Amino acid sequence: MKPMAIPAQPSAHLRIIVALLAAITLVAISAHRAQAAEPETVRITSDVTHLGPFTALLFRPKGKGPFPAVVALHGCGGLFNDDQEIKGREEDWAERLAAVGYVVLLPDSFTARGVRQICSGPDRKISPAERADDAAAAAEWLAKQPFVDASRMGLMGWSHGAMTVLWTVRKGFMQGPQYKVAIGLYRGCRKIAKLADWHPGVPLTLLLGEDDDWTAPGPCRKLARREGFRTVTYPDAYHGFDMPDAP
Amino acid sequence: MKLRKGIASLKKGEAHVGTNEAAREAAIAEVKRIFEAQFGVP
Repeated sequence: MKPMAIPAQPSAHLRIIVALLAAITLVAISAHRAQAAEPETVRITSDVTHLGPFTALLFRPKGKGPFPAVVALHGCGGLFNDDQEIKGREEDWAERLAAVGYVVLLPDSFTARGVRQICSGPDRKISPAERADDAAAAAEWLAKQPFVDASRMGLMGWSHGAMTVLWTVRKGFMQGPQYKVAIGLYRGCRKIAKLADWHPGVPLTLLLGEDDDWTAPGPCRKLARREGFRTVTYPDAYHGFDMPDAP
Repeated sequence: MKLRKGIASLKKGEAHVGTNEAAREAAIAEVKRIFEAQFGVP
């Protein structure tokens, strides 16, 4: 039997298909970047922040609005990396949400208070309860902007920021403009579960990693059953499962 | 206490932090769905 000839090089058709796929991918990435506005830094001052003024990064969709808005709260590592660039996770989410029409505000709870990060070290210098004041101030600030629809504001956060979400949405905490929905990613719930008077005042969803061995998902699921909010647990997922640049 | 344990174990390299691409994509879709359900399509 005559052996089948195997070409040493890809055929011309295959090379064309690969080139086309690469071009389509580049166009898609460029389009995503083009729709996401460059962020600007804003300064927020409010009577509700006991720790004082702070800055935030603002991502705006193209157009005048008014747009729905999302406040997104960084984790214990802060909003910026060592090069003072916004971290990949926060930037990725902000660009994605701005690209589909949301104003996104990312408060920086650390820099103005002289803190870089609180993931390591014996003490956590800034608590979720204190950061909840920043979240309330962020809602106040957004509600005053003409490009924001103050009746459509949501809150989300990661890890320490998700804990801040839980402190922010407790019934009766916010006196001014209100968040209408809240989401937290990979947060431990043991501490907040001990507060018998903690009840979420808005629809709340926690997104959890099944294999999270830093902030285990079990206590949050138990708290969710007690309080009637949603959890979504992703299999084979650790803490930080949505980081675009983690190993 | 648990949180401090978590921080301590992370410092020792015992806790895991890492991307799960399937979970990441699912979470992105879930967050967009929640906001759209609450606010409508922007």
